[in-house]
Amino acid sequence: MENITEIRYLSNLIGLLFVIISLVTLFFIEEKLIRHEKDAEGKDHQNNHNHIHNHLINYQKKNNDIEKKKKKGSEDELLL
Amino acid sequence: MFKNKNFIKLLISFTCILGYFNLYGTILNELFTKYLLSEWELSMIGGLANILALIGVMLISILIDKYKKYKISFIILNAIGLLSHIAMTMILELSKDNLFILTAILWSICSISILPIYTCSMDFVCELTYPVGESISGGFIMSCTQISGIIAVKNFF
Repeated sequence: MENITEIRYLSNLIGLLFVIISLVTLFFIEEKLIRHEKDAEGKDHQNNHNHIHNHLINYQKKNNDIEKKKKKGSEDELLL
Repeated sequence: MFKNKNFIKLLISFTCILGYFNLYGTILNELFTKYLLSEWELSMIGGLANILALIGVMLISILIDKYKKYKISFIILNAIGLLSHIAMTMILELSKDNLFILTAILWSICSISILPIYTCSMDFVCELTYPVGESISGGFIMSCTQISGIIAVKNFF
Protein backbone atom coordinates (compact mmCIF):
# COMPACT_ATOMS: atom_id res chain seq x y z
CA MET A 1 0.00 0.00 0.00
CA GLU A 2 2.81 2.37 0.88
CA ASN A 3 4.44 1.64 -2.49
CA ILE A 4 1.27 2.61 -4.38
CA THR A 5 0.99 5.91 -2.52
CA GLU A 6 4.66 6.63 -3.19
CA ILE A 7 4.14 6.08 -6.93
CA ARG A 8 1.11 8.36 -6.93
CA TYR A 9 2.88 11.18 -5.15
CA LEU A 10 6.08 10.78 -7.12
CA SER A 11 4.39 10.87 -10.53
CA ASN A 12 2.22 13.84 -9.63
CA LEU A 13 5.20 15.64 -8.13
CA ILE A 14 7.33 15.06 -11.25
CA GLY A 15 4.48 16.28 -13.46
CA LEU A 16 3.95 19.37 -11.33
CA LEU A 17 7.65 20.16 -11.25
CA PHE A 18 7.92 19.84 -15.03
CA VAL A 19 5.01 22.17 -15.70
CA ILE A 20 6.19 24.76 -13.15
CA ILE A 21 9.74 24.84 -14.60
CA SER A 22 8.28 25.18 -18.09
CA LEU A 23 5.97 28.03 -17.04
CA VAL A 24 8.72 29.95 -15.22
CA THR A 25 11.17 29.59 -18.13
CA LEU A 26 8.55 30.79 -20.61
CA PHE A 27 8.40 34.15 -18.80
CA PHE A 28 12.09 34.82 -19.55
CA ILE A 29 11.89 34.18 -23.28
CA GLU A 30 12.12 37.22 -25.55
CA GLU A 31 9.58 36.91 -28.31
CA LYS A 32 11.61 37.74 -31.44
CA LEU A 33 9.87 36.67 -34.61
CA ILE A 34 12.99 36.83 -36.80
CA ARG A 35 11.60 34.78 -39.67
CA HIS A 36 8.38 36.78 -39.74
CA GLU A 37 10.31 40.10 -39.74
CA LYS A 38 12.65 38.91 -42.50
CA ASP A 39 9.67 37.84 -44.59
CA ALA A 40 8.10 41.26 -44.13
CA GLU A 41 11.41 42.94 -45.08
CA GLY A 42 11.65 40.73 -48.14
CA LYS A 43 8.13 41.67 -49.19
CA ASP A 44 8.93 45.39 -48.73
CA HIS A 45 12.08 45.00 -50.78
CA GLN A 46 10.14 43.19 -53.49
CA ASN A 47 7.47 45.90 -53.47
CA ASN A 48 10.12 48.62 -53.84
CA HIS A 49 11.75 46.68 -56.64
CA ASN A 50 8.39 46.28 -58.41
CA HIS A 51 7.67 49.98 -57.95
CA ILE A 52 10.99 51.01 -59.55
CA HIS A 53 10.51 48.46 -62.31
CA ASN A 54 7.02 49.80 -63.10
CA HIS A 55 8.33 53.36 -63.03
CA LEU A 56 11.07 52.48 -65.55
CA ILE A 57 8.58 50.75 -67.86
CA ASN A 58 6.27 53.79 -67.76
CA TYR A 59 9.22 56.10 -68.47
CA GLN A 60 10.25 53.96 -71.43
CA LYS A 61 6.67 53.95 -72.76
CA LYS A 62 6.51 57.74 -72.50
CA ASN A 63 9.83 58.07 -74.32
CA ASN A 64 8.64 55.74 -77.06
CA ASP A 65 5.41 57.74 -77.45
CA ILE A 66 7.34 61.01 -77.71
CA GLU A 67 9.66 59.52 -80.33
CA LYS A 68 6.70 58.17 -82.31
CA LYS A 69 5.06 61.60 -82.21
CA LYS A 70 8.29 63.23 -83.34
CA LYS A 71 8.59 60.75 -86.22
CA LYS A 72 4.96 61.33 -87.21
CA GLY A 73 5.52 65.09 -87.02
CA SER A 74 8.56 64.93 -89.29
CA GLU A 75 6.75 62.64 -91.78
CA ASP A 76 3.78 65.08 -91.88
CA GLU A 77 6.16 67.98 -92.49
CA LEU A 78 7.78 66.07 -95.36
CA LEU A 79 4.38 65.28 -96.88
CA LEU A 80 3.37 68.91 -96.69
CA MET B 1 21.65 27.78 -32.59
CA PHE B 2 23.17 27.02 -29.15
CA LYS B 3 24.47 30.59 -28.77
CA ASN B 4 20.90 31.84 -28.96
CA LYS B 5 19.78 32.31 -25.34
CA ASN B 6 16.13 32.37 -26.29
CA PHE B 7 16.49 29.00 -27.95
CA ILE B 8 18.07 27.51 -24.82
CA LYS B 9 15.25 28.88 -22.63
CA LEU B 10 12.68 27.60 -25.08
CA LEU B 11 14.40 24.23 -25.15
CA ILE B 12 14.21 23.94 -21.34
CA SER B 13 10.59 25.04 -21.29
CA PHE B 14 9.38 22.77 -24.08
CA THR B 15 11.46 19.84 -22.88
CA CYS B 16 9.73 20.08 -19.50
CA ILE B 17 6.16 20.60 -20.68
CA LEU B 18 6.25 18.11 -23.53
CA GLY B 19 8.24 15.67 -21.41
CA TYR B 20 5.45 15.94 -18.85
CA PHE B 21 2.85 15.24 -21.53
CA ASN B 22 4.84 12.26 -22.81
CA LEU B 23 5.19 10.98 -19.24
CA TYR B 24 1.48 11.20 -18.55
CA GLY B 25 0.59 9.74 -21.95
CA THR B 26 2.69 6.71 -21.04
CA ILE B 27 1.78 6.20 -17.39
CA LEU B 28 -1.87 7.27 -17.53
CA ASN B 29 -3.19 3.72 -17.53
CA GLU B 30 -0.82 2.61 -14.76
CA LEU B 31 -1.51 5.69 -12.65
CA PHE B 32 -5.31 5.67 -12.90
CA THR B 33 -5.44 1.95 -12.14
CA LYS B 34 -3.93 2.86 -8.76
CA TYR B 35 -7.00 5.00 -8.10
CA LEU B 36 -9.26 1.99 -8.72
CA LEU B 37 -10.73 3.13 -12.04
CA SER B 38 -11.92 0.27 -14.27
CA GLU B 39 -10.50 -0.62 -17.71
CA TRP B 40 -13.60 0.75 -19.48
CA GLU B 41 -13.36 4.03 -17.57
CA LEU B 42 -9.66 4.36 -18.37
CA SER B 43 -10.20 3.84 -22.09
CA MET B 44 -13.10 6.29 -22.08
CA ILE B 45 -10.96 8.95 -20.36
CA GLY B 46 -8.16 8.46 -22.92
CA GLY B 47 -10.51 8.41 -25.92
CA LEU B 48 -12.50 11.46 -24.83
CA ALA B 49 -9.33 13.43 -24.11
CA ASN B 50 -7.89 12.50 -27.52
CA ILE B 51 -11.00 13.57 -29.46
CA LEU B 52 -11.39 16.86 -27.58
CA ALA B 53 -7.67 17.59 -27.84
CA LEU B 54 -7.82 17.06 -31.62
CA ILE B 55 -10.59 19.64 -31.96
CA GLY B 56 -8.86 21.99 -29.52
CA VAL B 57 -5.49 21.78 -31.21
CA MET B 58 -7.02 22.66 -34.58
CA LEU B 59 -8.78 25.76 -33.27
CA ILE B 60 -5.97 26.98 -30.99
CA SER B 61 -3.28 26.39 -33.63
CA ILE B 62 -5.24 28.47 -36.15
CA LEU B 63 -5.58 31.29 -33.60
CA ILE B 64 -1.88 31.21 -32.65
CA ASP B 65 -0.82 31.18 -36.30
CA LYS B 66 -3.13 34.07 -37.12
CA TYR B 67 -2.14 36.43 -34.31
CA LYS B 68 1.52 35.30 -33.92
CA LYS B 69 1.37 35.77 -30.13
CA TYR B 70 3.38 32.73 -29.22
CA LYS B 71 4.71 33.64 -25.79
CA ILE B 72 1.49 34.82 -24.18
CA SER B 73 -0.49 31.93 -25.71
CA PHE B 74 2.02 29.38 -24.43
CA ILE B 75 1.98 30.96 -20.96
CA ILE B 76 -1.83 30.85 -20.83
CA LEU B 77 -1.99 27.27 -22.13
CA ASN B 78 0.76 26.22 -19.72
CA ALA B 79 -1.04 27.85 -16.78
CA ILE B 80 -4.31 26.10 -17.72
CA GLY B 81 -2.39 22.81 -17.95
CA LEU B 82 -0.85 23.41 -14.52
CA LEU B 83 -4.17 24.30 -12.89
CA SER B 84 -5.98 21.33 -14.43
CA HIS B 85 -3.12 19.06 -13.35
CA ILE B 86 -3.31 20.31 -9.75
CA ALA B 87 -7.12 19.97 -9.77
CA MET B 88 -6.87 16.45 -11.21
CA THR B 89 -4.33 15.44 -8.56
CA MET B 90 -6.49 16.83 -5.77
CA ILE B 91 -9.61 15.12 -7.08
CA LEU B 92 -7.84 11.81 -7.56
CA GLU B 93 -6.54 11.97 -4.00
CA LEU B 94 -9.58 13.38 -2.22
CA SER B 95 -12.74 12.67 -4.20
CA LYS B 96 -14.53 9.35 -4.01
CA ASP B 97 -17.74 10.20 -5.93
CA ASN B 98 -17.84 11.11 -9.64
CA LEU B 99 -14.14 10.29 -9.91
CA PHE B 100 -14.51 9.10 -13.51
CA ILE B 101 -16.37 12.15 -14.85
CA LEU B 102 -14.20 14.70 -13.06
CA THR B 103 -10.98 12.98 -14.09
CA ALA B 104 -12.17 12.74 -17.72
CA ILE B 105 -13.04 16.46 -17.79
CA LEU B 106 -9.79 17.58 -16.17
CA TRP B 107 -7.55 15.32 -18.24
CA SER B 108 -9.36 16.56 -21.38
CA ILE B 109 -8.71 20.18 -20.37
CA CYS B 110 -5.08 19.31 -19.69
CA SER B 111 -4.74 17.66 -23.12
CA ILE B 112 -6.50 20.53 -24.91
CA SER B 113 -4.15 23.06 -23.32
CA ILE B 114 -0.88 21.18 -23.79
CA LEU B 115 -1.29 19.59 -27.24
CA PRO B 116 -1.31 22.97 -29.12
CA ILE B 117 2.06 23.72 -27.47
CA TYR B 118 3.30 20.51 -29.05
CA THR B 119 2.32 21.57 -32.56
CA CYS B 120 2.99 25.32 -32.40
CA SER B 121 6.37 24.94 -30.67
CA MET B 122 7.89 23.93 -34.04
CA ASP B 123 6.80 27.22 -35.55
CA PHE B 124 8.04 29.28 -32.60
CA VAL B 125 11.45 27.58 -32.67
CA CYS B 126 11.77 28.38 -36.38
CA GLU B 127 10.92 32.02 -35.66
CA LEU B 128 13.58 32.30 -32.95
CA THR B 129 16.37 30.48 -34.80
CA TYR B 130 15.60 31.80 -38.28
CA PRO B 131 18.67 31.17 -40.44
CA VAL B 132 18.89 27.64 -39.01
CA GLY B 133 16.81 25.12 -40.95
CA GLU B 134 13.36 24.26 -39.65
CA SER B 135 14.04 20.55 -39.61
CA ILE B 136 17.20 20.98 -37.50
CA SER B 137 15.73 23.24 -34.79
CA GLY B 138 12.34 21.48 -34.70
CA GLY B 139 13.89 18.04 -34.81
CA PHE B 140 16.29 18.88 -31.98
CA ILE B 141 13.45 20.13 -29.76
CA MET B 142 11.34 17.05 -30.49
CA SER B 143 14.21 14.67 -29.75
CA CYS B 144 14.89 16.47 -26.44
CA THR B 145 11.23 16.15 -25.42
CA GLN B 146 11.30 12.43 -26.18
CA ILE B 147 14.48 12.01 -24.11
CA SER B 148 13.00 13.91 -21.17
CA GLY B 149 9.87 11.75 -21.45
CA ILE B 150 11.99 8.60 -21.35
CA ILE B 151 13.91 9.84 -18.28
CA ALA B 152 10.68 10.77 -16.48
CA VAL B 153 9.06 7.40 -17.26
CA LYS B 154 12.25 5.62 -16.15
CA ASN B 155 12.05 7.52 -12.84
CA PHE B 156 8.40 6.59 -12.47
CA PHE B 157 8.98 2.87 -12.94
